[in-house]
Amino acid sequence: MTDTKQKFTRADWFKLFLICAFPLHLWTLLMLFRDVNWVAERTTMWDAIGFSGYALFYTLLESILLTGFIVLLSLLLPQGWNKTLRMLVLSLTAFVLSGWSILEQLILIVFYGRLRKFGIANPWLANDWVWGSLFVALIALSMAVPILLLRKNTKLQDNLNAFLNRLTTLSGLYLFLDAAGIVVIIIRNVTGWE
Amino acid sequence: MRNQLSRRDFLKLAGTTAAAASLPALRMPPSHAASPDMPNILIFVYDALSAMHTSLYGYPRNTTPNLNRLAARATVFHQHYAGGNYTFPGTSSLLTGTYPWTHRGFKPDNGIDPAFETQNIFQLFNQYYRLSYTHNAVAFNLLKQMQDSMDRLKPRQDLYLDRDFASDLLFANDEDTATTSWWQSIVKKGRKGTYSLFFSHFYRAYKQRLLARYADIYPRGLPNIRDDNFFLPEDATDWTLEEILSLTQQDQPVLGYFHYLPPHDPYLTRADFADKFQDDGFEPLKKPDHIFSRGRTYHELAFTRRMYDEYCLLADHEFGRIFESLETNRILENSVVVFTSDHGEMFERGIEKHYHETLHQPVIQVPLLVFTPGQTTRQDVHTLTSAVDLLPTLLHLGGQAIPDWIEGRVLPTFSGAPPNPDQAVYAVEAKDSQQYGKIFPASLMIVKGGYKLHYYTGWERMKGAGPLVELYAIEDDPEEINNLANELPEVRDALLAEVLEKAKG
Repeated sequence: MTDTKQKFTRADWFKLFLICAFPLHLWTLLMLFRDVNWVAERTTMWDAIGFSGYALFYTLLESILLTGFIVLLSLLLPQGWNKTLRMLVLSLTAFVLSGWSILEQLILIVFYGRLRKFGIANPWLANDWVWGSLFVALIALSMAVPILLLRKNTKLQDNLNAFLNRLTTLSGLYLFLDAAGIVVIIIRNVTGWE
Repeated sequence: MRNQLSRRDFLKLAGTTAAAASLPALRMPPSHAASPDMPNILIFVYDALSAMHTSLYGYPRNTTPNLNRLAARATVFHQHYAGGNYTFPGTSSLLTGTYPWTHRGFKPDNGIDPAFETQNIFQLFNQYYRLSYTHNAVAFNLLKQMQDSMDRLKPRQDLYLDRDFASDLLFANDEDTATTSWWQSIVKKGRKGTYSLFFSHFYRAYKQRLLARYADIYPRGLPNIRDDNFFLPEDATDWTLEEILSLTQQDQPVLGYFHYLPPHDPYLTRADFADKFQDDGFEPLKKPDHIFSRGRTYHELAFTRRMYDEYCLLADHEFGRIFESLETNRILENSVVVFTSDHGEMFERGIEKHYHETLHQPVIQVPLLVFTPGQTTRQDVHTLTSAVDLLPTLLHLGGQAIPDWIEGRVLPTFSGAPPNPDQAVYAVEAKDSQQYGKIFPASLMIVKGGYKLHYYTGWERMKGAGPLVELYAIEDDPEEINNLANELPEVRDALLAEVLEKAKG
C-alpha cells in the first residue's frame, strides 16, 4: 500500500457510487420480487412493469444522494489514511447504514402489528431524539470495530477491496435495470401509454 | 401548507357544534329550488361503520350519542345490509341499486361494469346539481368512473393537509402507477416495509414535523390514508356544510354524496374521545376462531375494537355537526338526509377489520337512517333491507320512475306496501375473482325468512377444501354462534340454491 494521500479519481468516485447503490438496489429488487406478482394480478403486467420502473428510479435517486452524503463524510477522514483504506471505510459506512436500515425494515415487517399497538398504547415512546441517538450510537459502534481491524490488517483490506470490486460489477447490472426503468417511465408519461 | 393552527382550525378542532351550526352567521331561508316533489338529497356515508358497534342499535358502548338523539326524527332501519364487505362492492351497490354480481365491482382496479358509468344515482337525478366527495381512494376510483354523470367530483386531495409528491409534481400523466410505487417505495412503512432505506425516514421526519402541531388534538396521530394523505375530518365536514349552504341557494335541487373515511382504520380518534371506553368493563363476547382467522388473540381484538369504538365517537360527532347545521339553516325542511355506511368492521373469531373473506354480521350489517323533510317522529323498521334499496327509494321520494335494471326495491314504510316475508337480501365478497364469468373465489350471503346463510368457496385460506356453508337463525342468534347448516339441511339447501342461482345470474 503506497497510495497515501492520493486523491480519488473519477473512477474511484464512480466505484463508490456503485458500492452505495448495491445494498439499496438489492433491497428494492428483493421487495419487488415479493410484490410484483401482487401488482400484476390486481392491474396489468404493463402496470407492474411501470410500478417496478418507478421503484428503481426512486432507488437510483436515493443511491445518488447516499453517495453525496458519503462523499461529504470523506472530508472528515484523516488525511494520513491511504486511498484504499479511505475507500474501504466509506464503503463500509454505506453498508453499515444500509444494513441497519434493512434490519429495521425486517423487524417492522415481522412485528408490525404488535409494535404499532404497543406504540399506540405507549405514546411516550415516540421520542425522535431517543431513537435517533440510539441509532447513531449503534452505527458508531458497528463502524468502530471494523475500522480498527482494517487499519491494522492490510490483508483484510486487500480481501475486502477485491470483494468490493466484484460487487461493483453486479451494481453495474442494477444501473442497466435503472436505465430500463427510466425508459419505461418516459414511455408511460410522454406517450400516455398506460 | 399551514404553519400554525389558524383561528378557524382552532374553532373546528375545539369540537363545538356551534361553530358549524352558525355557518353562515345568519339563518337562511329554505332553498327555493327544492320542493316537496324534488327535495334535496343528501347522502352521508361514514366508511366502515358497523351497525353492531353503534349504540343506536343496542351496542353496550355509547358510540353514537348524536345518532341516538337524532334518530328521534328519522326512519331507522334495523336489519340493513351492505352489498359487500369492503368499500368497492359496498359503495357500488349503494350507488347503482344493484348487487355485485350485476355491477361486477369486485375490486377497484377493474372498476364496475362500464354500463353503470351511466346507470347510477347521479345519472338518474340529472335534473339535480350533483356533487360528491370522498376521502377514500377506493371510493374515489368508483366516483371517477361515474364522473360524467355528475356536475362536480371534488378532488379528494383538496381536503388533505398534504399532497402526493410523486403524482402531483413529477408524474401527473401516470398518476395511479407512480403514486402506488411512491407509496410502496417511500411512504408505506409498516406491515409491508418500504423499498427505500433512507428517503422514507427523511420523508417521515418531514411529515412528522408538519403534523406535530396537531399532536395535542390527535394524540394517536392524524387520520390518514395509507400512512400518508393526512387529513382533518373536521375539514371535510366544514367543506360539506359550506357547499350545501351555498348550493341550496341556487336554482337546482342538490344531490350530494359525501363519503367520509372515519371510522375506517387507522383508528385515530380525537383527544376528546380517546380513552373514553378504557376500563369501562365491557367484555366482548368470546367466539371461536374462524377458518379465515388471522390469529388475532382475544386481547388484541379487544384493544383494536376499543380504538375503533372511540373513533366511531368522532364520526358520530361530525354527523351531529352536519345535522345541526342543516337544521339551523332550514335545509332539513326540504331535504331527504341519509346516514349510512358502505360496510362494517369486525373484531372477533381471530379476525379484525374488513380485509378478509367473511360476511359475519359486524362487517356486513350497517346503519341506515333516513330523515325525510319535516319529519318529527321516529319510525323503526325491522324488516330486511339492503344497500341496493336506497336508490329506488330516493327515486320514489323524488317522484321519479324506477328503471328495470335496479335490483333493489323501495324501502318499507316509504313504499306503503306491507312487508314481504319472502324478501331476501344478499352480499358478495369476491375481490380475487375475475370481473366476468364465474365468481370465484367467492363469499356469498343470503338472509331470508329469519335465516342467514354464508357460502365460502375457493379461497386460498381454505387450502383446497370444498365449499364451506354456515347457517344461522339470525333473529334468535344475531351473534352467529350456533351453525345450523347440518341440523337444518332443507333450509340450508333452499337458501344455497337461491344464492348460487343469483350469483350465476
